[in-house]
Amino acid sequence: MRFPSRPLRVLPVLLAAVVWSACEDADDDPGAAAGAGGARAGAGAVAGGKASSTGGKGGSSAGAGKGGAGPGSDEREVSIRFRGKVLERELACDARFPGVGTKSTEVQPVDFRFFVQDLSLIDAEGNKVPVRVNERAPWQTPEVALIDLTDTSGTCVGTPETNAEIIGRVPNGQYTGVAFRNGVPEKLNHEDPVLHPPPLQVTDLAWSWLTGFRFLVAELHESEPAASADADAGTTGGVGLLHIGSTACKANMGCSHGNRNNVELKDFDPDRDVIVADLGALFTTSDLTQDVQCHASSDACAPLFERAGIDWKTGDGLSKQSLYRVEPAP
Amino acid sequence: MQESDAAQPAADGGGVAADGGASDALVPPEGSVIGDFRWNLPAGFPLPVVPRDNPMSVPKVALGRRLFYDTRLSGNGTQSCASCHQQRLAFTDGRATGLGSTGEAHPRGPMSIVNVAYSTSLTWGNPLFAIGTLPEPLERQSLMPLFGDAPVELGLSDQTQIEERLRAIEEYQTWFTEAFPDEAEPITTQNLTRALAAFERTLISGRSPFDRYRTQRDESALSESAKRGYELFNSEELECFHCHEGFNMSDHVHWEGKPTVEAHYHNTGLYNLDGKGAYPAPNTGVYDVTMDPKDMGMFKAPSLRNIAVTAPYMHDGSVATLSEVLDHYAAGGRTIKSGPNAGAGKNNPMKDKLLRGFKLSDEQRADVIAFLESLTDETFLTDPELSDPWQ
Repeated sequence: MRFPSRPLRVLPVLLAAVVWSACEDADDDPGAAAGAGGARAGAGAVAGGKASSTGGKGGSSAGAGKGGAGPGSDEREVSIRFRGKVLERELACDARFPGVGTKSTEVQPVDFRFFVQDLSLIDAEGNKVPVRVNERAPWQTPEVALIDLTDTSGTCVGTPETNAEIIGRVPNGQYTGVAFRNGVPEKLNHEDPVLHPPPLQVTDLAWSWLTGFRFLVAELHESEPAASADADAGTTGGVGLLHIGSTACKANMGCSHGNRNNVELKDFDPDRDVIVADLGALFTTSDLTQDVQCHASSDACAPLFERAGIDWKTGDGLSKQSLYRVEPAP
Repeated sequence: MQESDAAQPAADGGGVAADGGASDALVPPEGSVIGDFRWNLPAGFPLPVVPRDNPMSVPKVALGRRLFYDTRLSGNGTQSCASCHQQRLAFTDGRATGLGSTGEAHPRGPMSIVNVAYSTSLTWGNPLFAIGTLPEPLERQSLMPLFGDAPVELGLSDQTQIEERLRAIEEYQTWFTEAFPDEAEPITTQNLTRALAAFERTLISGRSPFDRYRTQRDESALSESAKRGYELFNSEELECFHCHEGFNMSDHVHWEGKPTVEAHYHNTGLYNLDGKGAYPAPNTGVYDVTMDPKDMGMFKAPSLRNIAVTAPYMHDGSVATLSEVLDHYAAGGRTIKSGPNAGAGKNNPMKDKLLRGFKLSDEQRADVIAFLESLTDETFLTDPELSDPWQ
């Protein structure tokens, strides 16, 4: 079990205020959005990310549609924005969220991060148009991006830095949907992480045991002091933990369970909408007064994988998922 | 016949001791001196495989040794590699299962890393960390205890953290530069793992009383009881030698020039939870990696070198003594009568077919244990070259 061994830190209210104002500054600065993707990378990383622990605003609406039209201008810059939630409420590391799981448990977030590959927008005819993702260290390369919706405040662990957007370029046009997969492309997934630039480095997301990466890490626990904790029985309260990466791996033969979902969301306008990633929705069918842990290999994973849009038995993506939805940008 | 096979164990592997008798085996194999580095190989030991991009050198091994014993390699500064891999216990920790730097228990026991340079694959049963699968398996494997979080072992969070920490230590600037002289910024996670692996490859044990008997024909090195135990070990009744064979007493070995990579795994009937062979999760062996039902309960046969000092036994420390290990094999598998792990391991459908069980008199039992105790290499366990350099 993971969370009890980590120190818990409390987010100072003042810090939230500072971060929030920095976030607004970044968004309001036209210079930050006008340049190429690389130029506004730093601001985007801070703005989009810190928002997740302070209310999920921020993001980069200034970047979408307006900035960065290159020579020729037949394509434009686009920012695909994510926003962390626990059911209907903004994800925040210093908050408690009631009503999660089959026992309507009050929970606190611990970690929420995922890799995104094969990002496309869907045009009016239903065609998937790949987003040419920028180089933007340490969050994204053309092949893969890391969305990190939790910092190290409150009950959260991981890294203090966060990132809630992916910046790239698409041909001009009208887009009505978005598609992506949680994953690291197969050709990179089993490379030695010490040889790669971020985000494919040795971090909490490197899954050394199966020589790959965890595509999605979603963790929360029952609010402390947990009602279900029983010191005599050695229980510390409920845990919800989902780690997804490729499994069923054989030497020199790769992994037969890719465990990459196929997320497709309709009615998504990158200029107006955000993709809500709902940490609570992953555990809707779980009893969070219990120790619910899925490290991808045990059959306890099946219901959680289904929520994330993966058939645990085959490792294939399902046509439905319950983790992501579209909402208007705040 | 078994006697002669086992008496020159490397001979069946082709090419090492095969081209000479006992006296030739005392000559170190060709290639055992690389620049300033010299393999200190026991008689009859072949040359370990070393990744092309991580050649051995004296400064690199010295750096690796300092890192191995440095508690700054854990997130909270409380543990080093040596916390779970202690020299006097043949680089194990004496516990049934490991205990990480944050107090989290590991589901399995710290495996002895003695003679790890010769192990085809690493850990108790992960076929991915293997020679022939990864270019630098030992280097790559070290990322798991350093950075892994399920369970937390050393508890480093990311490579930037440890690189910045080491760069702030002046001595390490010097030592890394000596070990990786061609690199402008030698303090990297990759070089950290390379130095650790270089040191680990020098943890070579093969100077036990049994070795003096085996390679130097020193009849006085073993008691008569141990000699009888050696006969029993190699008998068709006990069948121990099939899996614990050759110079490293394991069928899971590789060395420089060995023509084929062999990575055998065995189910020894320790568990059978459901009558279909299930082992208790997460200790399902190779199955945990492959999810292939026929890999359930498959683990590699560890080296028996220094086995008398590495109790408790098996991947989960569930067998306390060598005598109980013999009980397990004599019964042809372990039966657990009650509790969550109840089941007749003897009837595990994946059980290795050679585990047929046997009868052992009290005297024979004492003889086998005397033989196993003769594999304890005091020279190695007290070698100052392998000890904590910070003390």
